[in-house]
Amino acid sequence: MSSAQNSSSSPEKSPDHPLSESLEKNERALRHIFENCYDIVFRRVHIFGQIDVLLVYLDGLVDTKTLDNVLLKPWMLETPRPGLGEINAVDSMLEQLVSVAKTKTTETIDELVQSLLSANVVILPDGVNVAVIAELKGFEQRAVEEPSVETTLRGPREGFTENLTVNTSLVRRKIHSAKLKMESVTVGNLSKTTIVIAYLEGIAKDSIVEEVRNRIRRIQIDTVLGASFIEEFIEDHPFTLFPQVQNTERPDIVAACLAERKVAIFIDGTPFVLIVPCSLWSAFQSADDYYERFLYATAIRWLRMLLVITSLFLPSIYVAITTFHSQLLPTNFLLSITSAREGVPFPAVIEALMMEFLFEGLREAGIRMPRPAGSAVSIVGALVIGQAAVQAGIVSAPMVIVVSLTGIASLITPRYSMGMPFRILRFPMLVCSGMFGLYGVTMASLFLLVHLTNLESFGVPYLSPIAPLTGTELKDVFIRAPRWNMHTLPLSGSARNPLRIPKGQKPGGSQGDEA
Amino acid sequence: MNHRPAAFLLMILCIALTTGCWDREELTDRAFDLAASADLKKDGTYLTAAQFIIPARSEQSSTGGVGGDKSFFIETGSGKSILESIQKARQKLSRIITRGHRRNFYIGEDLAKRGIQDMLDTFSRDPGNRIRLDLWVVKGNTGLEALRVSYPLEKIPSVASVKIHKAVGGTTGTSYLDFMMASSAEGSFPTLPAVDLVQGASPQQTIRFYGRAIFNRDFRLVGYLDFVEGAYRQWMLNGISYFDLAEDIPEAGGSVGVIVTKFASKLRSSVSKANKVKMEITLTGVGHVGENNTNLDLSQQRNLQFVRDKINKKTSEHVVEMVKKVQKQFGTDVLGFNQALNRQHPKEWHRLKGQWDTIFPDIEVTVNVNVNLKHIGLVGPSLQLKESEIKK
Repeated sequence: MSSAQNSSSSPEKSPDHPLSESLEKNERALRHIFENCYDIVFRRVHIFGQIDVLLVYLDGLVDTKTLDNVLLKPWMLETPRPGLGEINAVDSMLEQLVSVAKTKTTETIDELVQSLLSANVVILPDGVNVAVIAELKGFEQRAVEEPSVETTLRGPREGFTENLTVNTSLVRRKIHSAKLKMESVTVGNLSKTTIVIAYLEGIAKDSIVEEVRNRIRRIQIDTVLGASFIEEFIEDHPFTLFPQVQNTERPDIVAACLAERKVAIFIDGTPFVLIVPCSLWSAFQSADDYYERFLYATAIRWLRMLLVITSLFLPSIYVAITTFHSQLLPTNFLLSITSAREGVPFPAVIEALMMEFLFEGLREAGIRMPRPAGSAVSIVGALVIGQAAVQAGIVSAPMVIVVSLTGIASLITPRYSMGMPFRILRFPMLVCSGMFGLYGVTMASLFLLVHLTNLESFGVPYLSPIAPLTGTELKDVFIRAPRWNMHTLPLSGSARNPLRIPKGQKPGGSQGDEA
Repeated sequence: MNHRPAAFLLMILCIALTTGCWDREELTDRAFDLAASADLKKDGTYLTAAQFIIPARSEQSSTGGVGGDKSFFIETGSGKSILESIQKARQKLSRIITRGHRRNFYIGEDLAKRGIQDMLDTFSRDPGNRIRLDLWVVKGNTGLEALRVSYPLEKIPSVASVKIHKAVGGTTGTSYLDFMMASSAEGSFPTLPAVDLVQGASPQQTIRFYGRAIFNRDFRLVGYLDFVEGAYRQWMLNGISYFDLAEDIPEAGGSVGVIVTKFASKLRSSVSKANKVKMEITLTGVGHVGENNTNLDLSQQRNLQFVRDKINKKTSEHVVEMVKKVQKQFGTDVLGFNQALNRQHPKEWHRLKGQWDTIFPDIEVTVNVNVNLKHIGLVGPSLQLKESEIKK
């Protein structure tokens, strides 16, 4: 496969190499292009008893069973029909092929090579300068499984796979509407990855769709191997910690976001679909919020917000209060902390940095290490952090509590990538608090707030609908309003929000009976 | 900012490096002063003492270790001013004194009698000082002795006096502030809560909430109101939350005790042509009969009214006695009369305030206590009485 680079790049430079009428010539040309590609298969067969045909395909990408059984067998066994001229060979083949596969014809070598690389079978009959391309894709792929990152209790269990058509079909199965448009773009000089921009026509904002189109078309990259390859090219602010593109592996989230006027970007070869625009508040929304009762979902959302704030501020506030503002603590609490800190060799801020560092290390090791080694690391980690360090008097017990609370809190965000900025920002926050106390924490938070208000995702402010405030869209930020109450579509900006569902569907009472 | 992250980081670094000194101080470098005292020595110099916690010990006792060691220690210093005496104490301390948690400051009686004016300035100048500090006068003893009391219930004994004060229905954490406000207000005199040291049931001395110490304009102690008198005064000033009244009712052959809640007071002032000031004090509350040693059946409306009137009348007399004591014996307006007059008759007050100290002792006071007995408990008469003994 490594030499595919040479072969596929050469026809690009000189487009429109016409096919020759001579099969020998064509074969030679193809063999030259696919030199040193062990997985290319050339099969010469004699069909209808009279025509020589060359079948070319890449081994492993093509469903050879269908090819052999459905096409070749009848063709080869069939006796030559009277009156069948050589000229109709292509038409005759097409006629039969249509029943099993998507077909088209081509007259250029370049198109032929390209379709070969996209897992098609090319059939070159002798004596004509036309080749038939039949789509008979058949390669190993993962089945639709339950998503491993975003799990729910009551939601659907299917997740995206690495196959683009499976992914688009999963969403199509949720939105049975011709309004669901899926535009395909090919990105990547080498990888030729298909990217599908999906949106609901008439519901998604045209300006955003157009922006997505433009930004994706602008991309010049060699390979696209994951969603972030595209994400890094299309985001508004590359130097921020906060992701401005949401990614998900759940078709239901994609469908929901499409209905909320957003645009989804499917990328072949990755189970993650990008969704734009995205706001900070999506960090607190989980799929289960919409499958649970709304009161419960609201409560849990508050819990998440509280814990995210905790994960950002707890270590720094602990350090600030114990080293700068000890009078803020209740006396008895202070006594416990003081007695626990007695004899600890390091200043609180160094201690906190050390422990946070260690925790992040353990966590990172836990993700990357081979599974059998996992238990060993966690046991050692728990022992080292939790017990030995305290007993040895190197670390104080309250600090262990603070660090572990922070660690748990930083894992609460339903969107993993949204938790990262908070996870990282607590280190500068800690440094600020160690140097300036609560004043430093306040200043750092102000910086953070200013930064967040400056961010945009595809023209939509990152903190919207809080800043700028849009009253009707608040129904899905701090609370999760009941479905029958979410009347309007979001992302309207200053314009009046269009109605999403009719009003007056609250169950119970006379209205409920009518409905 | 996005364009020049390096410059931005450099700027942040500059902030960090150019700020000069940091006021960061680790907990292990601080000595927490939970209570302090000031006394007057025989030679006229100050003796200050402070109670510091010993963190290592306080942990030991909290985890159920050996109880023998105290979790605090007292360090003293003396000098001709407060600051100098603190300086002397500091010479013996390895850590920086942190006053953020100091809730009690005991003033010895001798010092209180000589005047605490000089001392107060150090309080208001120290930014580390809590504004919600309680100053106490130790009646008949020194502040140092009050610090030395080891109160059995509290890990840090100095917390005890605050908690006692709270438990008996007073307001805590405001005496320093109240003191300063009263001393700067026209016509009013400052007061402080007072404790004394008594022999407890155990062989050790224990601390007791005594009442109220009254100061004059020169911040000298002039006298005390005892617990009940202090409570009446607090009732007038709306600063009480719990109080028991017990009055004899000879007509019914016994006494009745009432637990009072929902206190309210009203001062109505009037000024006559001849600059004669009258004060009408109405104290109200809701009573709960907690003790009935009479033969009356309180479930009878008639009896209850009788008891109520008796109690109100008796209490009124006691309040009048207290007010007279303050007027005649101390001559200091610590009862809020000046404020009542100021609010109700601003013009007259403006005219009179210069000579308030001479007017105050002669104010004609009428007191009207009105405790409404709402609850009598589950029984009417006492259960141990025979049917024939009960007066319906």
